[in-house]
Amino acid sequence: MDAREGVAVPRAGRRRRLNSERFRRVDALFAGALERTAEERRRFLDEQCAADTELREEVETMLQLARVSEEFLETPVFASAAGILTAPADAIDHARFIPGDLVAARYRIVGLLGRGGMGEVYRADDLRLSQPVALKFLAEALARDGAALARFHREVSVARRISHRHVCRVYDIGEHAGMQFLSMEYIRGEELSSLLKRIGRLPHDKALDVARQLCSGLAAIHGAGVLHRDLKPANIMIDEQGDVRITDFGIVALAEGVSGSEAMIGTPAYMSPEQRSGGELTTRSDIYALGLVLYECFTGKRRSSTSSSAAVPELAPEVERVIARCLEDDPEKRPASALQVAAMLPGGDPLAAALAAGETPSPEMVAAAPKQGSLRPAVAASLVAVIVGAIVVLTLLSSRTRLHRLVPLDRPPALLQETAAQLARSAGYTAPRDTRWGFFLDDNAMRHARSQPERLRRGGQPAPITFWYRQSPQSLVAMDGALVMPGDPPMTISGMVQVLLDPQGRLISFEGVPPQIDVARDGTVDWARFFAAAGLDPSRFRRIASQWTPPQHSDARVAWSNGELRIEAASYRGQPTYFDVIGPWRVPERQEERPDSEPRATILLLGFYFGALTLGVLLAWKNLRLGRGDHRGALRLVAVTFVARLVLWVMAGSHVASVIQLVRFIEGMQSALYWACTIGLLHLALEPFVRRRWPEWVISWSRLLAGDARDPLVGRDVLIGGAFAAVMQVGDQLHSLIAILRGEQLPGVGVGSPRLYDNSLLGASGFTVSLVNQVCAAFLFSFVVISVLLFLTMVTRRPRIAIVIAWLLFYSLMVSNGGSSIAPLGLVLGVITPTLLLVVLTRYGVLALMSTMFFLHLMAFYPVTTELSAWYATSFLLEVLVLLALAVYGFRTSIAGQRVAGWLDE
Amino acid sequence: MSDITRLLAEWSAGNEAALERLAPLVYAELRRIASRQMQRERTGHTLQPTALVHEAFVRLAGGDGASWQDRAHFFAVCAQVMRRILIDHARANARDKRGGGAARVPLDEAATVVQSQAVDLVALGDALRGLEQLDPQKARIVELRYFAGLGIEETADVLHISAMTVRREWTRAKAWLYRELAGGVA
Repeated sequence: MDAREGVAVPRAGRRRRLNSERFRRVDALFAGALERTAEERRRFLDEQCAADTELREEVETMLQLARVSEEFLETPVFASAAGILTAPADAIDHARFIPGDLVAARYRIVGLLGRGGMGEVYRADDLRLSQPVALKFLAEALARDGAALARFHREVSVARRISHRHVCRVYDIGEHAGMQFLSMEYIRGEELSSLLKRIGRLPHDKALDVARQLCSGLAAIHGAGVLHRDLKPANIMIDEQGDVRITDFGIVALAEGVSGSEAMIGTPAYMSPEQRSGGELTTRSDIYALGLVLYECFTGKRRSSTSSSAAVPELAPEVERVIARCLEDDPEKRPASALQVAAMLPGGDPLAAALAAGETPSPEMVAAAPKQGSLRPAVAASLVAVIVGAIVVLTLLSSRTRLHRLVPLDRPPALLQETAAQLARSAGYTAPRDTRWGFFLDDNAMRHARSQPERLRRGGQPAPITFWYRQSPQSLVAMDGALVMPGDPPMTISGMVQVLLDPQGRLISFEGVPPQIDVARDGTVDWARFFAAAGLDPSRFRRIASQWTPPQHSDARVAWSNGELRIEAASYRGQPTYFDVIGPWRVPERQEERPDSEPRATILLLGFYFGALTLGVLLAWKNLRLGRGDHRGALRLVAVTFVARLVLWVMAGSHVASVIQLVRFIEGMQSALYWACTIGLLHLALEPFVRRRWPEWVISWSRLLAGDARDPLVGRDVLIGGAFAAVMQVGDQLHSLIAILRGEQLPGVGVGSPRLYDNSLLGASGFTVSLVNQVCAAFLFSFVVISVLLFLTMVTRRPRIAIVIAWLLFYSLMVSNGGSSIAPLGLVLGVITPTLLLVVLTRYGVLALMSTMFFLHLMAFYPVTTELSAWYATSFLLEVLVLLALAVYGFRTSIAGQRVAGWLDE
Repeated sequence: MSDITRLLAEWSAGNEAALERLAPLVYAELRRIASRQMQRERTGHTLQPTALVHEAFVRLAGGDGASWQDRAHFFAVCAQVMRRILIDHARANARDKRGGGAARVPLDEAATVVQSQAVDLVALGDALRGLEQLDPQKARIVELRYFAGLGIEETADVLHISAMTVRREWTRAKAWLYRELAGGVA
């Protein structure tokens, strides 16, 4: 029976507890009886108790006890307790300070909390800030030891940097009467060790919770470059909220260069093998101790060396696996980080935990998220099948939907080049030092041809795809150091020639630069040769007055017309300088009237660019300063982009052995650096916000940036992006097909710039140039989408609404830009495309979106053909090769080593 | 030292946390005064508890400035602090003897003094807690009389009751506690 609950009565070997009512009754009678004399008392009790003999007996007992206890407690214990009050403090608790002592004129000692390897820990009140603190004093022997003192100081300087809800905060360092002490957060709660002693093993869920918090705290410690080195249940507090707090950085030292005798500090039972043998300590040594602590949490027992193989019934197998990994003798075999341990635990998602705690997860944390993302082989294979299927469908459709299949491109560029060169030679422009050629898409011709697709199919004019040829007595080096194009470099060197041909090799325009210094020469030009080159019959043309001034200085001008076509020509001293077949689609580009809105649009664009640049720099700087920017990832991104753009420059540019090349090279580097910095800046500025708001979007991207290209999730996202792109592109081409069949649209080139044939028809080097451009474009597009979403989310404060607005934005862009002519289908397509893009982003993340964009570009911007013997098939084959390689890569990494044969058998 | 008076006011207003902060201060002060008195009166070897508590009060609460109310509260705190310290100490020693604590400090002088007392402080502590539940006023009186060494008059002052009441209650409180302690033995 518990005596604390009430006063018990000794009666016939049985103790009866008094309830308060009974007590009050007895006590009242007791009081009344005491006031009376002996006789009065008997009468009083007779009256009061009547027949209740039990009550009477009790009062009688009390009266008796009152006599016996007369001297009881009369001497205050105080006097006899003098010994306690006067005994030296040591005799009571061996403490250096007693409660009430003032330390360093700032802290009032409240009591001794405990004694650690390094010294004593007191609870105290910080009088200046009036909050409780814990003070840790160095043991005197250690305080005299210079090395220990140095370690103590080092410990404080690093520990102060750690601020985490599962790590005990370290405040400051101080000195009192020659003694060094450390002030830190006072945590009200219980040590994990005493909790385990009290209740045995923790319930499974609670143990998991504790484990996760431990991992997150330890990760923060490691993140600051600190090793704990003495992780054990006695150094882990469970505070009053039930939160785990890692304490006692008693023997923390800088993470680097800890070996030898210094490493031999710590609690032997929780030492890793390398710590016991005096080997080098790493974060994985703490992981080992973590494993031991986890074992104790889950089993309630300390793990002995013999219990390794024995199955512990209370340990769930998935937890046992994690602990076994932590306890590997070889540090390399242990999990690389505490976060990884957390991720391996059942239901482990430190990311969700961090988000719930309102923290921005670090890039490493995001990369270590437990998301496995491996696909079942059947699913992965279906995705590959979608991509391959799309390639086949797109290839088959190409003859009807793609411009380059419609406009006969039978003549290889070498032949066209020879035709152009011959014409130049016949016009007296000989001995070129440099020649260049290429294709471009003529917008005006495109627009005009829309009404007459049949003419196009016959290879007639206007020719939307135009071949250009240039020759020069000097090296042709483009102004921007990259690609030579019509007009770049400008036609300024005497003897330069520029010829435009349609894909059949018929002349469209000829231009030659006359000599700078006048020559004594005379003669007339035989324009019949030019007519022949243009495939026109001179007899059908009549002379008219020349209206178009030649672009080069000329002394004779002629013009013809057959009603539809107009031909303008000019010569200087009998040498042709100009011959131009001008159709009604032709716009006088040199005096084309600019629309009024252009300057405003330009200013707007520039304003937007500089605004975005400034904002980007500010955000990136802020993120870096606050330490939340992913500088490692950004640096990798910058390096990769720089190298890629430099390769692009080498592949695309015209390189000549001259001093100018050095200048061009520097310019090339500048351009590459600009790109690299832009992309790095975007990543620094935007990624932390995405990581904070939607960390699951950047898991695979973080892993890829961390160099983990073999991660299943990376493979999965690439594959899924590819499949989405395949579906979208097939949809787009089917839509085009229907429009073309209805005669409402001309075969197009899909989405994108009309200049895309610049490179993609140029074989391997042109292909590489396009590829690099498209990777950059995919990246930029993704980040534009993300920044739009972020902006909208910040404005609306509602992510869902932001996504809806973003969708509307993309939809209206699609409609105003593409502008489908067929109402129901175009509408569906206009709805589907932005929806799919946003689904990819929100469901699979940034990397998947980039992959989608990249696949889309790859499928749209290359000369897809069924005629593999065509001269331009190289680009197409390379494209297919890249597509398939990516698909196979996605497949192999995403199934993460699962057996493919297995599901085939099933 | 308005700190003390503020804490006292807070405690009397029902803030238990204030006692947590008062206790170490009071304990430390009592220790200091006690050891000084012991040095002075080495031969007599007796402490004047009332004098001790009064001095502690003067030193901690600043004496003159403090109100009579503060003094009453302070004595009550002293009594509680002493009760807690002594009983905890006794309990710890009892545990050690049973082999509960692993490597405790060997029995010191203080422990010996407490042991030599006829009263089993651990049992008294339990009994007092029981009495507290049934009749808080009696428990307060025991605290002030036995643990803080206050006289009848002073106790009456602190508790705002008449000396007569204190005397009567005290007698009965002792009987009740005695009954419990004796019963514990039986």
